[in-house]
Amino acid sequence: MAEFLSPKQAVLVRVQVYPHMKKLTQFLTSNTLFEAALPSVKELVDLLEKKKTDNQTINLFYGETYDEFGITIDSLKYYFILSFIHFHLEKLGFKVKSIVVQADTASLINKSAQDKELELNKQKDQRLELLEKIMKTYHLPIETKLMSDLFKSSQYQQNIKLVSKYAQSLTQDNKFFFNLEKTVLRNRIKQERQTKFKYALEAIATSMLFDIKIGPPREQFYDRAQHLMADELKLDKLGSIYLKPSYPLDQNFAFFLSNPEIEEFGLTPYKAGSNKMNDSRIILGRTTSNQLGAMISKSFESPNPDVAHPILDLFVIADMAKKLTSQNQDLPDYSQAKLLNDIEALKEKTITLVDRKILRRFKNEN
Amino acid sequence: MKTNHTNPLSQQEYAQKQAIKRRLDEYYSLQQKKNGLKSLNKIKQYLPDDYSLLALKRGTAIAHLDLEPILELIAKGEEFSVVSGLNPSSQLHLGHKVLFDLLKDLQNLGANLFIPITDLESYFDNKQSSVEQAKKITKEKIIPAIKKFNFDEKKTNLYLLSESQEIINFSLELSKHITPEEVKRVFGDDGVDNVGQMFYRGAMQLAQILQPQLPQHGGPKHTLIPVGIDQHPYILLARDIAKKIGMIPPSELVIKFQQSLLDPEKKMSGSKPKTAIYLDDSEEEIRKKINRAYTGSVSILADHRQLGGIPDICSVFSLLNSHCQDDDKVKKLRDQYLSGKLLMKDLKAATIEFIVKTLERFA
Repeated sequence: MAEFLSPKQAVLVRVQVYPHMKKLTQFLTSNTLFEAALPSVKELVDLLEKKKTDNQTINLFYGETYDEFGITIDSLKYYFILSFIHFHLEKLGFKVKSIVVQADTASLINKSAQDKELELNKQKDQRLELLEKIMKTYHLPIETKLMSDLFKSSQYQQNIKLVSKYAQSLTQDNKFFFNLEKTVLRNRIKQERQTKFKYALEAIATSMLFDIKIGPPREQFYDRAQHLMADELKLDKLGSIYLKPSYPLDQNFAFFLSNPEIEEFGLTPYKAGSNKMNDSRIILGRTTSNQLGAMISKSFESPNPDVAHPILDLFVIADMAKKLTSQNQDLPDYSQAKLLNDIEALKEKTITLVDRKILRRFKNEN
Repeated sequence: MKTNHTNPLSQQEYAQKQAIKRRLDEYYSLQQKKNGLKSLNKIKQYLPDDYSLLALKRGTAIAHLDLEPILELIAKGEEFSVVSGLNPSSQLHLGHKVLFDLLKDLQNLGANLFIPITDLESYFDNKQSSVEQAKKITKEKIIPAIKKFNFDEKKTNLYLLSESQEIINFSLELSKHITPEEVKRVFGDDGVDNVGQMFYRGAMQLAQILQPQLPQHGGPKHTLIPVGIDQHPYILLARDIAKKIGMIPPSELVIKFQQSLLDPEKKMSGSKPKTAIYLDDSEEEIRKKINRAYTGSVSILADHRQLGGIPDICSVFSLLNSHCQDDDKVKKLRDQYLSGKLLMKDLKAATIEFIVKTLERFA
């Protein structure tokens, strides 16, 4: 796993050098929101400062594919956190650009979607429409870009040539491929090998268009592969921030023990059909208030900080939605210990907030 | 370790006790690794308080194999089966009580219990001079004691092996699936001294483990077997056979032995009265045994105050740890003993009082 310095250490080290980065450093080391950073929070702060000194724009991004089920509430977490970082950096005088990449081509090459090209194209249009509404509703400073459009850029073409050439120069047992295999669930490794990791190589080439990525924990393996290549070819390393995993609702404690891979990495946040658990996810425009209440009340949540926290995660998403709706763009601060102190109260608050600040705003959108 | 003002002899004694603790920790950790068992840490993190068994909370249960399907059934409020046999080589002692307390807790969580009394094993292993002798102690001492645990009779199948035609028939059937070489490979040459032992270990023990999955008990189902680490080979063999005959490989929960009153590296043994407290021991016997028990303290009182005690190897503390339900009380005594604030005589007094009261119902 990528590692944080312990929050206290990270804050001390960076705050001594860059006192104005104190808030951001504290935010990025929040154990309620973030799983880890790569290479580390310290190096991310250094990267930001270097960009500022060089008067360059910082390019932040989050990339997602999609399936036929629509936009999950978990995607909102990524849009929101990307936005909060964007707002904060702007306030500090940084030049920032934030992009959400919709990996339309990746969604189409997905084997299960081969026969559904038309349908997915239709979904793409609907998705872009809904994304526009999300950006407006929460006043997000994010631009949406299609992967197919990015692919047309000369920079991407250079990147993909470089990445492909590098991959071809390696034997299959190289650490680079070892990392790529870990980007997918075990049941999909065979499929990835057959396509010679086409999707993974495209994802790496796309990430090289940006400076800092916000992503789910499993994406560390793409980034570790990118770092191996960067070390060898003397390229810039991508900075990454991994959010806490997204977990299914409506599951008891035993689910997390019987599904250790999901317990460790969560479900794919942006794909409601990840692990065929779409019925245990909140999907914008589809999940009703009644379904929400039922899912949350039956969901596992625990005061133990070291376990999966599906409800805490949902609360945080809804609370960020509340803040952004009212254009409160300050970096949020969540105390895990405080929120987990009373699980029943947390569940009740979460139902109310998710319903009011998210579900009602996208009723009948899907 | 605070050693500044302590007697060198106390320092030496303390170091020896620490070495015992290290050996014990290493033993269990090596066994876990060697036998491919899984740690219970993740399960302890996830298990809600309502389901948290005393054996898990206190570290008496140390590892598992495939416990997850059982937990899924517990979480859904569905039934499952638990098999735990008892060798009637002596009357019941506190080591047996750890197991029966666990069985009772599991029954409260939905388990149907199968408790075979393995009189034939006692005979084959020369622990009883005859099957009749084993039956006698079972009927006179063991079954009455087990009944005092108040198991739900409708969900408890308590029986004598020699009297179970079902087990004998199933053993005969299973015996065709296992070669003598397989039995020797699993148990080693020392574990099989006579043909009776070969049949018992290779077929009869497996028949008990797989019994809940027989058609007359509802067919294949998830079954949990709580065992001491020395019984792990039985589980491995049973899992292999289960797959061969279309049953579900049983799950395993490994339980630490209740330590001997005289030696923390040995287990309480019914055939060695000084090492064990029997459930029907008198108050006087309990007092005598606990007062003579091995402790985790150095002998010089002033040095104990400085160095503190080592609860994990203390035979006296282990009695409280394994049997006292009161988490706050156990934690408080453990902390005070560790820090040296609680003296051995006071820990012994508290333990005697607790054990005497606990065993009142077995008198």
